[in-house]
Amino acid sequence: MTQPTDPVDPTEPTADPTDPSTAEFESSLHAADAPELSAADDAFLATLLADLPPLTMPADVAARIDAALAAEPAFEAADPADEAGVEPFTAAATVVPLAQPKRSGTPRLLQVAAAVVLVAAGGAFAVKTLGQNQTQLSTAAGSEDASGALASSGLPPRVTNSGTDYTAANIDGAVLQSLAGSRGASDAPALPTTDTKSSVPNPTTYQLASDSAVLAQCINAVQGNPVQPQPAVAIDLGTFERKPAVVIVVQSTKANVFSTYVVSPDCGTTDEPQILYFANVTRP
Amino acid sequence: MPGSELDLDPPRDDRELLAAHVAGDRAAFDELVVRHRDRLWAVALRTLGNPEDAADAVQNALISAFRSAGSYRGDAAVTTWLHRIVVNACLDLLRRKKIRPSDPLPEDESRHPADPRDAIAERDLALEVHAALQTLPVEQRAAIVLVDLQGYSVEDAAAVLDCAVGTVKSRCSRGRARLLPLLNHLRNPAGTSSVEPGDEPSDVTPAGPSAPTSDPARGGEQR
Repeated sequence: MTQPTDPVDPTEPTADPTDPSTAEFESSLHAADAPELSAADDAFLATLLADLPPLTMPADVAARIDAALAAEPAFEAADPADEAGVEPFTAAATVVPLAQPKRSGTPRLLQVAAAVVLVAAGGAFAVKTLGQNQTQLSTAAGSEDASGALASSGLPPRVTNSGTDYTAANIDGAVLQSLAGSRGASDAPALPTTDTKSSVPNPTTYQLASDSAVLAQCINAVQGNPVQPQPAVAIDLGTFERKPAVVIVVQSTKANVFSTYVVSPDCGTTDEPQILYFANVTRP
Repeated sequence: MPGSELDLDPPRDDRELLAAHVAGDRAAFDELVVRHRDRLWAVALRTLGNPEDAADAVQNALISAFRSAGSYRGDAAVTTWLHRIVVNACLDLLRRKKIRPSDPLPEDESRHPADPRDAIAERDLALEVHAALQTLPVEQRAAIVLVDLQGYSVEDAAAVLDCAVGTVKSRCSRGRARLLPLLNHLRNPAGTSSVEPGDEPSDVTPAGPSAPTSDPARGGEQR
């Protein structure tokens, strides 16, 4: 079979169909630019495609989804005051200026692992539904610097400003340690200690640390700007191999798998954030 | 029989079910899922080309919809909203796989030739179309799946894909132009023709007596 070429528009996204810039360009194209098939060809394809037998969700998949939904807490009505500013299909985040009281307990997380704070409950995260309190701060575990909550993700990720200097060698372990040590909102890991901090630069200068819209855009952007991004469960401001960076931990589509994105601090202000590091980690 | 009619509760429409879910009715979302899951599954499977990925995408999408139902404002039909979430879950999954090239999408599950006289021809035909779909760029594939396979109008597909109607038409046209050489032999089992976009094989007779004379999707009609 001969792969067709496009005689009309050479800019058709063939090499990289998921390239956002290509998709954006394509969106500006008019249908008249598209190749035209004859009526007979069109009819043939229309019939062929429309006449395919309907698909039915397999019973095991249906049962799996039913079980997953049954495990969800019941939807709770939102506080209208919280919901008012939330647009459909968008994420919003609030980074609260810090000055929260310091934690008075003994740190329980390893120093290298301590920066990423996850609020989890057993095998499933303790989910606050969208309607609950979308901008609620989660300060039960204490935070030296920043904390906030995503709105539409349904999860309240902690935004911390540990200043930790992550490396490719230690970041997966940090996430795993946090996952292992955090079993509930009331048992959130401790904060990082000062000797894990980087000397460069001051993460509080990152724009996304002070602008919730930028942070929300960043979280969406690293996931490719889906309509419904996967929920971010932890965000930490620090450095990666001495370069200013933000660590974003996102729950994957699998219950025990988490995606770790390390991005440049300008994330959320550019169309394509620079991803310095990416890995999936699986909670044992 | 008036008595029996009065005993029946009228079925709740999608919006009522979603509102009931937001109000705390646990059964409402389940009913919504049962109502639409086959179509959501079809979109995911045909877009991703892999049952395991499709299951992940649909599950993730429905959980997202469950959690974010409060953000639904009624600007689009509930089914459009659900499909939009599923399609984006699919695209998100593909992007994740792009980041991890060690786990590529299967592109060709079967290349069995279709034989209309064969008892399993229908299945083979579906597999062949499925394989051809996987060769399309994902944006074109999603548009083709929604419009040509699932029967959405171009307008509804545009709402699902969050793009302009013209973009959907463009993607469908480009996708069809790519599919034609891959599937053209199905209307002529002995044929070896390979039609390039722009060619006009007007002497080729569409297969089957039910071939439409026009593509209603192009006119925005619900198929």
